[in-house]
Amino acid sequence: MQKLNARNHKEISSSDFERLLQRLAPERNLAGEKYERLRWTLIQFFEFNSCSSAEDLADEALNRVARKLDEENVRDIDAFTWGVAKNIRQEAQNKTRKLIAISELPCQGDSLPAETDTEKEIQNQIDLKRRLGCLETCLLRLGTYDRDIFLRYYNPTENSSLERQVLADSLGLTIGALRIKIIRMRERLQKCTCRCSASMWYIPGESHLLSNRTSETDE
Amino acid sequence: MNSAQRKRLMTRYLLGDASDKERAALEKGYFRKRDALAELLSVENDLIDAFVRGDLTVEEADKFRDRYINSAKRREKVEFARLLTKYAPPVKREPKVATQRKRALDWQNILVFLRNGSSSSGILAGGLALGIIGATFLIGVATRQRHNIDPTAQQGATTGVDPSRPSSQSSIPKPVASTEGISSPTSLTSRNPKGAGPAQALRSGPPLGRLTPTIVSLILMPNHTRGAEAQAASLILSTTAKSVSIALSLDKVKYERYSASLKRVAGDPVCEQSDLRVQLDRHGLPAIIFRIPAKLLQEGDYVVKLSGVADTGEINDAGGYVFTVR
Repeated sequence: MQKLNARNHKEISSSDFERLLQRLAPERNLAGEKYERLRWTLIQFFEFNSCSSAEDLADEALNRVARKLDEENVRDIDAFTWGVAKNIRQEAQNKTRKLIAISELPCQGDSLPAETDTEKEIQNQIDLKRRLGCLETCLLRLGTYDRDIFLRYYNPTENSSLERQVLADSLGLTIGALRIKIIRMRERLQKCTCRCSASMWYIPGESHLLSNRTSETDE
Repeated sequence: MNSAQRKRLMTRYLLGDASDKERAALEKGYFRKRDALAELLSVENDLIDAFVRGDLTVEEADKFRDRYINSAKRREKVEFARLLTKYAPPVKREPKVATQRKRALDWQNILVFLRNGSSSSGILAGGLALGIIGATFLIGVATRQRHNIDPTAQQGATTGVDPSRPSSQSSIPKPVASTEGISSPTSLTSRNPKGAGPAQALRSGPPLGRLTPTIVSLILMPNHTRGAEAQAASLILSTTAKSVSIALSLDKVKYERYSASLKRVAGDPVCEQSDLRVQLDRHGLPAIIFRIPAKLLQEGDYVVKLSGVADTGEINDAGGYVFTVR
């Protein structure tokens, strides 16, 4: 990755960046939104294709596109960006093939002796309880309206496409808009839970976090 | 291609089974349309959920393990999905979303009705306006009367605090469980709500919004030394603190369940909490952690007595912890 960056990643000039924004939309705020959307799409593309450092690769793709706009007449920016992304994917995958994953080594990465099962089990139970407490708290932070939507979307008895369509209809949303909403919420929840589990405590039965900090301002 | 076929294709794409042509078509689609990407991400989440629930076929599960879980980020997604499946909401919630929407629709209907302007709608609009004016007047009267009889509001006026400002800290002391909104299965009972008076005036600081510190943490070590050598931890309560979390550090974990009682040194018990279980504190060490409303604490010395509950039900002394509120 570092080699890839060293070879290809030149700092994008402000004029190239401005040209890219201008190309995405004449109005600056809208251009910013489209830029972020394109970057998000690129990140997902690289993640779907099992490329490590997806965010770096997405930035690299955007930089290349911005530079190319000066040299080439690009008609369809989405298709062009996809083409650039495919090239970067190829380069990244060629590099990855040269690496050996730890799990493929003879000892399969399990070089430490196994812990005693009971101890591990107790530790896992404590950890699970703490993480569930964190999840509960993070769900509360979503607010009643969003939390209800999220729980209904993932309610095991309402898992079919039809049920989700009904939920979207009841909210006055398209199924696509509902999916985006849920995906964003799930991402936020995952990040919140992860951060919480790493740094906070909770009281069982309560939905309040006990933090090292004296205020909860991290959202 | 129908929805089910698309879902199968997307699943194959995520598991690395799609042909080059299929892959290209999908990618082209989601670069053009945001909804297509959302659908793919949704299928990805469903795939992960199906894996952790054990709903995939053996072949799919093998591919998922071999091809999908190949990065730390994806492992995190899988771990989170595992957590989600273990999460059970405390109560089955009513579909509030529909209710809110219905309320919004009711208001929309009223507005549309008034806007359409039939002969009777004028009368109804007048009646509605009169109703609103009347309700506003009654609320105003009630608020003024409340200010006249509210001793804390008067106290606020004498100490320079705006009595009209909403502040839970300047209200009359209430029972513990309701003031903090704790709905804990463990029992937290207040025995001394009366002593909150003098400290309340000190704590009636200005509301600072979301940045206001509301939880104060305190880690206490077991009090091995006694008498004059004992060094008590200090707790300085900010004016906006609503609750105090107390972590009682444990030298050894001897019991599965504990109970803790808090009392003033040479004074009345303040509160007690039972059915406490061992957790890890922020240093990863075993501790008993519980929370109490800040308004129960006044300046002075406190002692927490910890008891361990043996399997037989026998209650044993598990140590004492002291601290001082300043």
